[in-house]
Amino acid sequence: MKYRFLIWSLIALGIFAVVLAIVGFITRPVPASSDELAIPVSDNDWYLGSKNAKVTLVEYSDFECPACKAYAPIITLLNKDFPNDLKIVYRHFPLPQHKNARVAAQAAEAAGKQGKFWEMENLIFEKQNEWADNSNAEENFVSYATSLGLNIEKFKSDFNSDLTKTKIESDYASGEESKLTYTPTFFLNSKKISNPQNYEEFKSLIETRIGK
Amino acid sequence: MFKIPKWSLWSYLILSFAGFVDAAYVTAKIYLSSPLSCAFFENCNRVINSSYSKIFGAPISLLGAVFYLTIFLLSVYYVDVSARRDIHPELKVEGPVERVDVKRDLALKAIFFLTAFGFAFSLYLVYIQAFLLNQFCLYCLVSALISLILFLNTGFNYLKMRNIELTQDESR
Repeated sequence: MKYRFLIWSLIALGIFAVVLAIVGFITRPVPASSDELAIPVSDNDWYLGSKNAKVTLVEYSDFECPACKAYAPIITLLNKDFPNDLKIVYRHFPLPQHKNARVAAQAAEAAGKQGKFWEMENLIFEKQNEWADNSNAEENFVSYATSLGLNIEKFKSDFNSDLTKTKIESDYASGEESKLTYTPTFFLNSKKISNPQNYEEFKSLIETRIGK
Repeated sequence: MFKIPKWSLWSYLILSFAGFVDAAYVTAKIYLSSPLSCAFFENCNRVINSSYSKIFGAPISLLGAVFYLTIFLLSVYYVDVSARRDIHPELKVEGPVERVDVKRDLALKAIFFLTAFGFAFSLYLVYIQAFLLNQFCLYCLVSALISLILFLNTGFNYLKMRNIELTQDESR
């Protein structure tokens, strides 16, 4: 009997140790490289510009954040100035305190399903004041979708689909893994940069990377 | 009396343990809200966070961990009961030898029905990944593979046990 008790306690202890080991493994301190983009760019990311460009700019953004809105025209301009050398990637990082940021991201994703992610992105930023405080912001987004000539039935179902929500969720998770603390956050060739103060500054930063 | 072959019993222990580690790892990742690093399939986090990933508020991986742990413990129990019979058949500590056999067969039965259920459930999960989400996660597929092997393995043993039981009944 003693022997059996020993065996079973060893097994219980062993399982407990395994669980502890797993938790310890996950929470182990990672080397402080929080300036690195944690999740590399993949085919699931929305991008502007050339797919295999030398320089990649990743933006983590929140549709309801005013600073992000301010950067939207700058991004458009960058794409115009570096159509072949720059790939611009947009990732969602809807901050929890912005109540409509998530649904706005859903609208952009749903438009993306019909090939108009960037058009919708621009429109959402442009009209930020219109929907940000609206308790039924979905109405606004549907009207933007109409103005972009999208199929509304499909837009609505994509807007609410799990795929859309999980895409945003995984973007957000990837941002958390990069230890983001503010929006927008930019990564130039996977390295975090401090936000340029104006277009010229941004442009010259990218030019130096292309020149390398 | 039917006895599970040694190699088969070892495979129960190893596979259920592996399944437990796999599921427990995913569960811990979920509760520590740390995203999984995806191998082979880029979108494993979408699978893990999808609306199908929870049953009554509990992540499926948690149920999986409990499931594999149960099978592991049942297998240990089987080994334990067998050991008592095989090492000290003369002692009859727990009463008549037949009682020990009954316990053993019950453990095998329980493992069989559990793995059958686990296999059916993992088929359903693979179906969700393939047709509803169009995304896969390696951790989930590994678990599905483990439950398939466990099911086949136990299935054969269970059938053999049943056959032996039937022939014994006839000879009585």
